[in-house]
Amino acid sequence: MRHRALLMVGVGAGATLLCGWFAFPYAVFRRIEQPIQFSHKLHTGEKVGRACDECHTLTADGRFSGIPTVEKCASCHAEPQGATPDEKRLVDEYVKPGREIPWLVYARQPENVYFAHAPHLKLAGLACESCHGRHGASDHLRPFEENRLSSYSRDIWGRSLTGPRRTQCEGMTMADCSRCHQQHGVKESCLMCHK
Amino acid sequence: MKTNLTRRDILRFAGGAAAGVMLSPAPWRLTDDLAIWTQNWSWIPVPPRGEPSVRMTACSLCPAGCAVKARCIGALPVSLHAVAVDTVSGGALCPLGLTGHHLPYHPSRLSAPARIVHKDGTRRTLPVQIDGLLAEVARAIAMAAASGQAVAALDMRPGRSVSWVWRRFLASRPGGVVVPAPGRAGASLTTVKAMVPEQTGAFGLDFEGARAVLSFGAPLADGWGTPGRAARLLGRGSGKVHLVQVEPVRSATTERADRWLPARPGTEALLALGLGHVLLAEGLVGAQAAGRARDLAEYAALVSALSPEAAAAATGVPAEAITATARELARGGPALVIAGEDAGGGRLGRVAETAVWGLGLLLGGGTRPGGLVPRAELPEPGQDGPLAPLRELHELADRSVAVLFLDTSAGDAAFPWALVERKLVARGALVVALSPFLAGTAVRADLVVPTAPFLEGVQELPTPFDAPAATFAVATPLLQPRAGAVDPIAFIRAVGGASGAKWVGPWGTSEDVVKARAARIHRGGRGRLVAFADGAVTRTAEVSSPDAFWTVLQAGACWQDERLAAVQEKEFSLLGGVGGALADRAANANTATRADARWPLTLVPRGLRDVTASAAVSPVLTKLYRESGLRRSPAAALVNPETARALALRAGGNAVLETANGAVRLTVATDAGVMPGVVEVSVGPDASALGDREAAGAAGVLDICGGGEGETWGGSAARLAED
Repeated sequence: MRHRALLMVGVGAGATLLCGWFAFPYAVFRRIEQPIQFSHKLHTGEKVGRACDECHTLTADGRFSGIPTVEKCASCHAEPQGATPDEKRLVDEYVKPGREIPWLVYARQPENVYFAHAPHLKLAGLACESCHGRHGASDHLRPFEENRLSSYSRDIWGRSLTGPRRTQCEGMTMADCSRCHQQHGVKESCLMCHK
Repeated sequence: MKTNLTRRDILRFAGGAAAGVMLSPAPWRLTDDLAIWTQNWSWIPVPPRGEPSVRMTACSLCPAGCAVKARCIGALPVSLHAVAVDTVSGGALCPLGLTGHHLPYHPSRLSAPARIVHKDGTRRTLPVQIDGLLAEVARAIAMAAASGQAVAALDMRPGRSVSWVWRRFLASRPGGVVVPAPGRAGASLTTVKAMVPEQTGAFGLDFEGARAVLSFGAPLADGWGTPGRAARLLGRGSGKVHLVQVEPVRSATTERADRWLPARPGTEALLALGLGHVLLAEGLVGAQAAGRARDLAEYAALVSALSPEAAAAATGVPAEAITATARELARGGPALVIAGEDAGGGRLGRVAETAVWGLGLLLGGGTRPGGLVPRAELPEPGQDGPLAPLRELHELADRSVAVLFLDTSAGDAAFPWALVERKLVARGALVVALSPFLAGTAVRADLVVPTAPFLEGVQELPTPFDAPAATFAVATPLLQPRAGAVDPIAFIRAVGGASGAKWVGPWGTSEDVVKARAARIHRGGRGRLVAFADGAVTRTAEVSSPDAFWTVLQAGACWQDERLAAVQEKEFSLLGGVGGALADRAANANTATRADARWPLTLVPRGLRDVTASAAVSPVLTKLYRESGLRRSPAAALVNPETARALALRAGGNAVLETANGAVRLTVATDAGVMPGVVEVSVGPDASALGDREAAGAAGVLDICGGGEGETWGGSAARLAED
């Protein structure tokens, strides 16, 4: 009798633990491929030799271009430069019609957050990798893991569902920003990021 | 063992499942994700996306008129910043200004005219058509005229062009009068103006030229005057001014001061006279003062009895501190003595102000660099014509006002409503408020007319009261005014039209009349324009036309007049016509602080400019006022630990604070910076100012204050008992 009771409790607990730890992440996130596959490695490598800030520019008045517009791509890819199907789609579906590529932004923040790259790059002297990891050296774009409820990327919350960060650049929640600010002695106020 | 699944098995499974779920990340992540999901529903407004841009304007949320740089996204201001330019404020914004762009979206924002109905302790608003409102006002004005009763406008921001139009309009109404808000910042300068009757124009304060400042109750570090100016004054390195602060409770100003003189509330006049005694007894008064003071002999006779020891016994300030302060002021270079007003506690009263300003005149010999300085007045917008008289509230006869306009369109002020109420006729008085918000003083009205808030309408920044020279700026609107907002000039014109009055000028809107004033300033040819964007200076004489002058102002600039000669060699009175009252106080100095057993405490209400100058403040300011200990809460009564013990009160406990005017429930807090026998309560922000529209009009400390000299309300006798 007692064994049966323990068995039922254990089965119940085990089932939900398995669901919560393993099935839940698959259920809550859905994977969406980027519209075009893009290789940072190729574009910054020897063959093309672009620097990061040639596409991701910080203007003199502090504005950051973020992901460049298709006009930037068109400066080289007015016609296909190679033979990959993705480049052909880039030219045919976006460059020639002048249509913006609907990139899925891993680092997209909520509407109530105002983030400025200028103080982080110029004042704090942070490298891009500090927050974005080795994305700039990637050979392809990984799928965008979208939270089905909130619509934000899994990158914002971090790979781990429980919170501990394995690397410095994991996670872009308010707590992550705040932790880094505290480490660097930055005094915070609500209005600094929420206007 | 049986293998049939029983109900008990299912319950055991469910129990285990519940425990397992709680040990998995699922419920916690779902809570987070659901919260974010609810923020992203399609009908929730989001800021528009668009090109970033920068626009300049001036902050009109208080009379200081600080320069503002607005960062805009898609033409919508998203953040406001101070601008370091050579203006009176010199590049500073207080919390109210930094969050000013939230105010057009404030929950207490009014969108249509309304009638406020008070019944059985509740308050309701009913929509009303503007035509009906105007007809009702016109009828009330006609009835007032027929009954010989007054029609008054209570102007929360006197000195504006709109203020002048009120005076022109009410001059055409029998019994018309304009009343500046009681306890407004700089009100005490009217007292010193009366002490130097030959001085034309106004007085400013030359803080920058002073080496020492003796402040009686002016909270310099808490928003008095022009906030940025005071911050520079208190923070200057080796040139830092020597500040002596007279205040009964510890504050940010007393903490920054070089010396704090904690005089008992109501004894400021005796302290000032005591300091005057030392100056005269030790021969520290200059020949200029001796030569220009008309009533020096009378003054000397009055202060002769107030030795440092006598003043110490009356005020609680040690005699050594009184003597040392007098010597420091006399020997330490130009010393500026100021009688201040607290944004929540009001003025010291004419008698005390006279003693304080008299001390300053005695030290300085009149106007001079580093002290009181004369400045020109701004020209009025239009030609000379009949003007309704300006009267202080306490000068009006009780029960004499039948129609009262509350002009809170450009800002608000904190004062006990009872001071106004007793001036209204007992039956049938009509109170009409012009306000962007259903908060602050506006909730006392019978009818409210919505006006445009900061950033939506043209607002004018005339000279701040403390400026050493006249200035003028315009708060350029950065947003389209919301439908339903009524322009104050258009309203006055409509009221005039409805009541059969001929309109007093060519202006149809506030912008028209402010522009007219700017044109007159330009025609004067004096001074210079300082552009906020780059600090560029242009002499007024070099601006080609009034339109060009207006264009520069609208782009974000401040006009600054030339300084007048500081030393004007005018005679002055040290006793300002209240010598008899001062003599009474001096004669009764030893009874000044005898406690009444029924009312053993003195209530000291205190307020900050960044709360009281605007009826509404950004809800973000809960961070200051509710969620941190940075600012004192209006729900707390602060007493000294000794006082708490004597009254058997415990910190954190509920108590009833009572005066002869009523009672409020508060929480007790202890603070050794409050002197024994004093209870300090912060004024505002109330819940409606922070966004809880339903809470507007709830009783606060000002509702139980009153009964002081003239229109003063600080220092009410009170008692505090556990609830």
